[in-house]
Amino acid sequence: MKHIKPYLTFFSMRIRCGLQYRTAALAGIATQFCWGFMYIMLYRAFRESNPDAYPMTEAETACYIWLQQAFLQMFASWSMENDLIAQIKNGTVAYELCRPVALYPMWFCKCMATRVAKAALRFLPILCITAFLPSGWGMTLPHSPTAFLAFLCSMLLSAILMVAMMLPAHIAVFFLMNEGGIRSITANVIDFCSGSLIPLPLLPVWMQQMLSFTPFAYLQNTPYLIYSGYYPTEQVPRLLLIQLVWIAVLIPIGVIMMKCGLRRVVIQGG
Amino acid sequence: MIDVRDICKTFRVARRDAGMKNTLKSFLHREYTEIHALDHLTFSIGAGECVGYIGPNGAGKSSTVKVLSGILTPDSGTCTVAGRIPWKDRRAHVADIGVVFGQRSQLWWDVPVIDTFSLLRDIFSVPEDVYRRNLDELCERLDLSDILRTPTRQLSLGQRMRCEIAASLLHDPKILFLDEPTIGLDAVSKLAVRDFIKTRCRDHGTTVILTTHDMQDIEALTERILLIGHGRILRDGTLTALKEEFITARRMTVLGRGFDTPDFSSSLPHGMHLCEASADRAVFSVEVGNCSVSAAVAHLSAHAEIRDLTVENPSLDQIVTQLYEVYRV
Repeated sequence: MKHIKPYLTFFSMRIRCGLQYRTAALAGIATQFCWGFMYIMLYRAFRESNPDAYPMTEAETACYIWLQQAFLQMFASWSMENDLIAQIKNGTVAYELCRPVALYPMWFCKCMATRVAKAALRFLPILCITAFLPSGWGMTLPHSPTAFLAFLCSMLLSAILMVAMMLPAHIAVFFLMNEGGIRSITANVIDFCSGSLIPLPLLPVWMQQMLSFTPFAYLQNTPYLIYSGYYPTEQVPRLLLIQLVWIAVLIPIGVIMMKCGLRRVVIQGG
Repeated sequence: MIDVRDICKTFRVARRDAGMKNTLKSFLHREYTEIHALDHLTFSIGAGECVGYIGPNGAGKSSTVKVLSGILTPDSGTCTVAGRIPWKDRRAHVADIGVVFGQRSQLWWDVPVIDTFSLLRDIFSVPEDVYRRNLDELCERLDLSDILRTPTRQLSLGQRMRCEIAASLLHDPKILFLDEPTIGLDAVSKLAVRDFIKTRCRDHGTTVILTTHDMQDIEALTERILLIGHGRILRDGTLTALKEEFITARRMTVLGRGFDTPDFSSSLPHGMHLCEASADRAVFSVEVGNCSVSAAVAHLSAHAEIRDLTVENPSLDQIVTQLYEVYRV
């Protein structure tokens, strides 16, 4: 317990920091409503033009979109921790090394806390308000109590997976000296491949099959589809297991990259 | 406490000439120059010592501090700090040291200072009673009680530096590295910081290594100085010895009358030279050892009229400039 305490304190402090930004949250919620409606109208139009070719029900689509908008900040692929990057670039990372803690878990906590804090301020209003919208437009209850439970587990794993995937992008700055390129690559690849741009069931089947071999398909896509029952309950254990496997792969990658990065870091100036 | 032996560290720096042609050429082939930041650096520091570490920019000061704090791994050589090799066992090592980098901040920008402090308490696993005691002491000594609850971004530089120093001492480190702690501070804050470091060294027996360009810091805080240049220790000795060696002449400024007569300047005693003279003011340089101040004053009062007289030693800044010249750094 003694060893975890620094990380927990850090996590809670970071959350407290993040909870300060109320105005940003209000503005975010307003934007998410607009985007949500826009997407729903768009997909309704697709569906009306050829209902047989459309793989999801209206309710499933609406659910997916609203969950996505509610937890947008949790899975925001474009949001990187600017102060971590600044630390690497200007050398303040030296201070972090002067403390008896491991850097990877510290940074993991930091990224996770920012995402949790941002999402915590936004998701409830969006989910509550959209729950009152007519069927096919708004949020619905989960497919079953089991599905809801599975959704919660899967959300937790997706969040961890998301951070484990974003951290190597930060650590890469040790080697690249600039985050511009890596930022746009991660943002675009993750957005498209994780169903954040277009829900994955709407992609061609061959593409879905390909993506199912990558970690991207197990980010937000998985819990949202479990919630609405698009993924039947029998599949849940397999999905959760794959999520766990990807976490177990990506975290060591990040840790090793961090080791190499720190080895070659020459703290600049001063 | 600190024992450094034959530490070397070399950096590779890419170099190219100006212009498009050379830029394109460097795409295919880069030329590197090797910079020997540390070149067989050797010194040792005892427990409780307060040592000034000086040298011009790029001499290797910060690299040394980084090696000693375990951030930088040297290419060769050995080094033990409090019985440990810093870069081998970084996490155990850093619990024993406190570091203040004057140009970087360890305080959280957006939250009150006290929040950073409690985070550091948990990071360093400082027991609650020890933390309370240290915090109370530091608050009192550094006068922090009013600013603890202010977010860092709203502190002045002087207030921030006091908090930085407090932050680096919360876990009772045996060794404190101060890298330009007074940079950019006003006179009052500088004095407060110096005063604090001095008492800390005395009361807690903390070993302090101070790198600075501010010679007043050195004068106020340390007796021993290490001069580093080109990655090597060029001189290791006391400030007094340094002064004795380098203060070869004093400067004497006299206000009065009768300095511009030819007779006056030709009859100066041995070792006393007239540097500039006008009708009512003259500046002399008096060589230490060849001419005593009293002999110079006796001569002046016998041959001219004195209204005011000042004698100055060269400042430490001048001595250090001289020192840099002697060692060609």
